[in-house]
Amino acid sequence: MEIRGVKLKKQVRYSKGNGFFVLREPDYFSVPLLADDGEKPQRVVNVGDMVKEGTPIAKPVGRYGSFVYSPTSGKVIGVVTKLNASGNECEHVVISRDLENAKDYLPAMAEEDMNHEPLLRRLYQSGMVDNFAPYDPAYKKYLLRCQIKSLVINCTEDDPYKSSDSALIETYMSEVVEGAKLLKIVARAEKLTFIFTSKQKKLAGVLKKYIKQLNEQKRIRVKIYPNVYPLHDSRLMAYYETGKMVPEGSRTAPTSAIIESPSNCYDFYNAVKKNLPCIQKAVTVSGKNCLRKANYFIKNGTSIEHILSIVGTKEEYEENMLIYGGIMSGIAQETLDISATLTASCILFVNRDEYSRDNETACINCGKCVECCPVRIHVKNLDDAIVNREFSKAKKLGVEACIGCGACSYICPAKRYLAQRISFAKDIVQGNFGKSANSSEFAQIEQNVASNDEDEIKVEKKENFVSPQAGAEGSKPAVDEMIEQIKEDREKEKSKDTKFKIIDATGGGKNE
Amino acid sequence: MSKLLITPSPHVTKQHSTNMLMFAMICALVPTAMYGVVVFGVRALLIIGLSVVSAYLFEVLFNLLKNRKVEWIDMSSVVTGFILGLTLPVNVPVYVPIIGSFIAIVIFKGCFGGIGKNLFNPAGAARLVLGFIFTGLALSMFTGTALGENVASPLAYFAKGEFSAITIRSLFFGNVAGAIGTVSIICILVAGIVLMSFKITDFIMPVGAVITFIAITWALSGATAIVPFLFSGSFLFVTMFMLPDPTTSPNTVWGKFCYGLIFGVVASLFRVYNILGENSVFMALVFMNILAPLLDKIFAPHPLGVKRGA
Ligand code: SF4
Ligand code: SF4
Repeated sequence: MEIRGVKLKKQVRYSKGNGFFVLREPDYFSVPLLADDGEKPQRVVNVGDMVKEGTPIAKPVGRYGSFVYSPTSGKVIGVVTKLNASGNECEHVVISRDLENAKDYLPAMAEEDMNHEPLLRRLYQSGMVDNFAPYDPAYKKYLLRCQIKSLVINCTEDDPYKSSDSALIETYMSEVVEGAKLLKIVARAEKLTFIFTSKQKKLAGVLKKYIKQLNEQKRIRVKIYPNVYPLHDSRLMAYYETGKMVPEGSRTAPTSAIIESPSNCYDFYNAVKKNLPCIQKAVTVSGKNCLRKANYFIKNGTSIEHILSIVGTKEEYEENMLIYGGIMSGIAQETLDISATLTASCILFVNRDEYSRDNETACINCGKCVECCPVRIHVKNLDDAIVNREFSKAKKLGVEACIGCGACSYICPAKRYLAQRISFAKDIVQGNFGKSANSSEFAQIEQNVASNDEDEIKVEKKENFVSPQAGAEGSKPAVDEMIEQIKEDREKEKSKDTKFKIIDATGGGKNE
Repeated sequence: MSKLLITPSPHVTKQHSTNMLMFAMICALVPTAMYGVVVFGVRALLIIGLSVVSAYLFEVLFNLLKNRKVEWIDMSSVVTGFILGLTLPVNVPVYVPIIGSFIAIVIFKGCFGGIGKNLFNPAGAARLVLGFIFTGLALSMFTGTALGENVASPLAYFAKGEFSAITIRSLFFGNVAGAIGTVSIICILVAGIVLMSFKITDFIMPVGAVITFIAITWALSGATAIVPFLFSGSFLFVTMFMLPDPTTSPNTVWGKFCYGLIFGVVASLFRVYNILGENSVFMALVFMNILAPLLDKIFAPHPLGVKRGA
């Protein structure tokens, strides 16, 4: 199978190899009840309820919903509707942390329960989400009744900044392998495959040694892929592993492979052995504006503002960027009032030297974009079609197959906005224009660039365009007010009871 | 952090640009040009300079005239002028490079819609037209070498089957009559390989072209003809610098390979039957430029996960 893509330079010098830091918990969490575009879970707590760490605050509706658990013990002080990191409007449950640290985990599992049915139920209960697009609840892809040959653990970190998966495997190798084995039972798979890139050879060697110790070389394989971008897409990974490609938006089970991430293996291990529901995620926090570049365990609902206050910025000037997700496919955020969720892989505080903003020039027809596209789109022709607003032709050229990796934009010597324009056209062709953050952002740029042809698209743009700013700003006062409230409450509490010492520790987080 | 910037992903791009690629191309051509100047004298510098400067000026003027955006740092027209200058013999009248640049930039590039939209390689097509206008370019005007005598182009000997008239050694080091840039095989080979190894030009097309060129020449004229044919008549220059021109070649890997293969066949046929003399390689190039869109269509990739014919 020919693996196509672009070579990227890794930027993990600082964040790699230091294990994990635990982020100091913020005073309040605001947990979005929708991680990405998916089915909205139903809120089960009301303002004023007391919750413990691990209490469900939302339950699934419909067949494919998922649980959301409280990341802390405290009091629900509000429910606000604002935008989440992917630009979707949804309810956020705001929980103020108290100092009791009360825990309310899942029921323990007995030894004899370690088979398919109970484990699948535990996966359903755990509230884990898929780390690869589409961001479903994690259990969803295990439901298809297909013969699964291999459960593929995709440890490749194709994004230049990401190092959280390597760090997780390095630090918690036995847990990850154990969790993967449990997931293998859920998938009823014959084999387990760990996939690394050639940049991670050392780690792969260590893992191989560990598997040899366990004497399971026959059932667990370690594979090395070339170091290209993209490898994160699960459909693509299934294609490389099995030679079959499923259509856009489908699960990979029909190809007889299921793709899972190491961080989900770790979470599932915790859910089964420690009864811990999924409330935190291993995230790489990096970027030139970030002082403490490292891998952190970040709890669901921690606001970016809080993370920033801990990792610190170097400089404060305009034109900084906050990118939620990797630098290649992450979403630039307009405000710091965004919660980290379970789908985060990276949070990047990027300054002016790191991102590239070049003006588009004329295509020189070099074909580099065609050569690097992992799903074999004729990117150049497609781009021409979109520039001429021929959307039916764009559909014929396979605009819907695009996985939005951005490799084409990266490689183009003429700096064409290829991936941006394609994701914009994809949304138009599929009829959900304005719903995904990337296409809205591109629409804004398009408006600025001001193309000179007037047609129906522009009208549509005005009607459907959801400005992220409007939602975020509209909701901000509500949160601010509540925070004020909490602070007042805290003050009162403090004066009442001096036995509690508020541990506002180091500010750096402690090494585990 | 008062104001966050938002842009759509990807947020980084590779550190290369069209101008940088073109500049690398120029750097690779400089040794070849210098060798030409050493062999043919200072007049070679004049010819190359004239064609470079006029190419740049024509580009700027044409863009001003057409109200297109003027790129002041425009390396691509410089490359076109440079290549055109190198394909001309040293003793052409001074108006030839200027007319050539006009044909290349205005007719074969500007009128097709500017950079990236041209069907033909501007320098190659202009050189071909010049060859037809000034018929002397094809054969007899290739005079004045380091030997200082009036020597006919090696092609004249090869056409008569006299392969031993010119030694391979003198072909290799450019001790023959020929165009300024195309006689120094050694410089062309080194520059071409350097460009390929830095991935500035494509290596698939030259490889394919050389393979079939050798095969067909061998089949038609025997083994003794291979090296003289390969090293003469601008073949290697065109294969290394003009054939892999991004704009006029196919986009896909297999398309490129076929493009190279067919170019080798056509070029060797033209050369073996000596139809057009020095023009034959450029004729083959223009012929291939016409085929490129067709090859693009034949080898168009099929997107994964999309049903065929849907
Ligand atoms: S067209 Fe889509 S899938 Fe192909 S390289 Fe560009 S962004 Fe990636
Ligand atoms: S990579 Fe850029 S310049 Fe090259 S063909 Fe594609 S769009 Fe055109």
